[in-house]
Amino acid sequence: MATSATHLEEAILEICRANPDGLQDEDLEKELVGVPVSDRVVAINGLLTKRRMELFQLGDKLVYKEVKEENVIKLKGCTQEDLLVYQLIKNASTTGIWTKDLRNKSNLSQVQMSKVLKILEMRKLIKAVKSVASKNRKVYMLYELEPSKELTGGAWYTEQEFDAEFIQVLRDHCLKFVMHKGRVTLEELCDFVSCTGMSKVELRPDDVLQVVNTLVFDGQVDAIEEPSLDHDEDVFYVPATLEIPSRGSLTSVPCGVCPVFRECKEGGLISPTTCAYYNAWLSPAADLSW
Amino acid sequence: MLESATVWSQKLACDLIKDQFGDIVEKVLNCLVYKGKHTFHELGRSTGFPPAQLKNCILVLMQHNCVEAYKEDQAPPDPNKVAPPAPIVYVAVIDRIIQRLRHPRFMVHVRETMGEREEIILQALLEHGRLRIDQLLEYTAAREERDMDDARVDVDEALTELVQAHYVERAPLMGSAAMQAHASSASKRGTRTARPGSAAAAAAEAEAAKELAQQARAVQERFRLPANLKAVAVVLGKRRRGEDSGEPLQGLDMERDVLWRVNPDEFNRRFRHMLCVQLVNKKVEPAAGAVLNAILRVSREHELHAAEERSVPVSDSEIRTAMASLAEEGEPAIAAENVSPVLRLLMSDTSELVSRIGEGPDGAVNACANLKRIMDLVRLKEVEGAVRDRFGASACRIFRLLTIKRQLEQKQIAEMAMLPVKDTREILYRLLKAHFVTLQEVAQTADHNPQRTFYVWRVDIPKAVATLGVEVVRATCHVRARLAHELDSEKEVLDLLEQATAAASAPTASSGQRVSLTAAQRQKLEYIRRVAAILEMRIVHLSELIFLFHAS
Repeated sequence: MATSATHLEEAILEICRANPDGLQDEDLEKELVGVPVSDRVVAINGLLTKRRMELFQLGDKLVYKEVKEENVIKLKGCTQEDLLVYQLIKNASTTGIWTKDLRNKSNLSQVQMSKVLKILEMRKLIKAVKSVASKNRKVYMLYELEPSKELTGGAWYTEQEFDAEFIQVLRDHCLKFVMHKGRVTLEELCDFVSCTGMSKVELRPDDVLQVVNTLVFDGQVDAIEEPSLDHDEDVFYVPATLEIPSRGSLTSVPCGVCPVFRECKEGGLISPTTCAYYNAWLSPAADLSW
Repeated sequence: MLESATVWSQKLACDLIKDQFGDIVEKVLNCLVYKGKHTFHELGRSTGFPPAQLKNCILVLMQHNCVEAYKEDQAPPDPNKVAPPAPIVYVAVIDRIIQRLRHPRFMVHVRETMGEREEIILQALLEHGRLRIDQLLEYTAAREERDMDDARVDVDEALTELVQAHYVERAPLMGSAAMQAHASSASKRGTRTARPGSAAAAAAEAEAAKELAQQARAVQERFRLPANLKAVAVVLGKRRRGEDSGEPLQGLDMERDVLWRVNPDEFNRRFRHMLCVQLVNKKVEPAAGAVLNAILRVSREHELHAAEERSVPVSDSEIRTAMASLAEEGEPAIAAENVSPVLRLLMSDTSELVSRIGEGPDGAVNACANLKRIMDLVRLKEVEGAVRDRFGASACRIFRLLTIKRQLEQKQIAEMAMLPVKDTREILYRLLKAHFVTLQEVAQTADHNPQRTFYVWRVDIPKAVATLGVEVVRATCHVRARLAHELDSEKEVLDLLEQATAAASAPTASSGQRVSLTAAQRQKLEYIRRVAAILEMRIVHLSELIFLFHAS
């Protein structure tokens, strides 16, 4: 009986191997004509317990997949809970899953969870990754996977911190390049950035575009769109024609930059006659170049 | 003239009048500014002044063009009864009062573009409000220490030049076309627009056409030269063209009773055109600026209002002629054959500063300058500068980002501006408090659950510009208050100085009357001189900004 069960298991496994994308229950039944249902069920259960086959649900149908050899070894000796947790983490792929979410989905207690996670980590199946968005959370994902962009913040975050200096350096260089050349396209800028090797991380065109756009928003560079032959529109970057005025008439007086401007009135607690900013501005030692 | 009657404009106007004419006159103006138009009796009741004093105050205010009077249109009277005489109503002209801050600039402009004798005439008119030509003559003669007969020709010529350039106009008389136009415009606000195509619409159009014709006539009337000066104008014209005419002026019928006054609208129009040309110089190229200058020169004679949104359509042949006269006057100009390509370049600029209207009969292109757009750009740049100086460069970046992208959520803003989220949030709320940005809720659920609503940030550009406009006026009030305070606190030193200069200039000063200042007093004097100079200069700059934001 055991031998026939093993044969049946092997047979089922072979059929699964033939359908690497998953074998539906009905198809399995069709292949194993003449095998009673009870035997089939026993064989399937056996395979599932031995972790040689996996069970998925596709809509309301059941699908079986063979588990690869190396995976079998990897998961050998794991309990049901371990496997459950492992599967949940695997489903999260590159985004990773938070401990609290994991607990909700698996319905395990805190103690059990920690034990399972420790075991899996020791076996180098999963790893903990810190996210930039929420620095206090621990997010778990499979060992071999790279964390996605949202977690690490992309090129602009080094070690979870927003790298403002790096961005500033990049901006300055791009600005100088645009000023020097007078008229550049995005590709030329990308080439320039990668040639000079300013960044350790490789910067994609999207990243460079983001940097250039900040220069446009600062009013230092203008983006001009012109119709071209290859694409619908080509975007050129030129030094800005209309600059923002350097020190307007309003902001040359303390009132223009006063934080309590709206509360100021004559005879009030804050008034032009008693204004401390004016006192400092008009004092003989003050530098009135602004 | 615009209705810029914000609280701070009103305050500034009252402050200016108080400084110049005293408390009593200011009280009358205060009534008119804060409570609207009054008749003579109503004013008497509000201020409590006796009629003689009230009359003097009103005369002073009218003389200096701060208050205007007109007859209010009454409802059609009952045909059975005798119609009561239309009451005369007085109204304060706040914009004109605020223009008083800019008198120095007007004088400098006239001196640079015309000459010293025109400047003297202008100064006389600015100081005294309205003058007849013989009074002008007296003033000039006294100023230049010449004989009146000697100065007559110069004064005639200078006045003619100023009137022809529209810098000086006739002061309107009661019952004249200008007055009627003012009264009818005041009463016409609030009429509804009729449906297009209906008889009412046709009637409304006919009315509008009639009004336009009336306005054109009013403009002509304002600058009509009296007969004797017309002859002068002819002579001047001949002289400008190079012919030398030695004919003496005939004794034609003199309109000696005409009162002349300064027309600030024309100055503002010129300054506005200069700003537009400057902007185009920077944005496109200097040649384009010259072309715009030519367009504006042609359109200038046809502008009816003080603040036109667009110039009249101008063809390129007209531009070439104008360019030639610009070259004669020494302003930057380009060669005639370059006009068309540069004009095309101007019209193809994406900011729509100059648009193509249509084609003339011989295929010539007609162009029209969009003055409003150009001025809007200038104002927006000022707002951006103010945001940057007040809130920081990152705030300026966020502000510009929102003007370009219209509306964004906070997270998107932080991403696009490449700023940390915390900083972005702080800056956005500070800008919101100062009314430069607005926040809108877009709820997904009916109970406006904060977790499920989008909060969208926007910049309403007209609102931001208006906010800054009000702030500029308010800042001017503050600076003036501070200047008054500083001068007041050092009053004793200044009085001493006055005594000292009076004693020094009096030829028969006995030694006992000599006033000298101690070292500490001299230091105070130095301080107050420096402070007064700085504050006064800032006030002049601020008045330019007021013009920019309120002259549309």
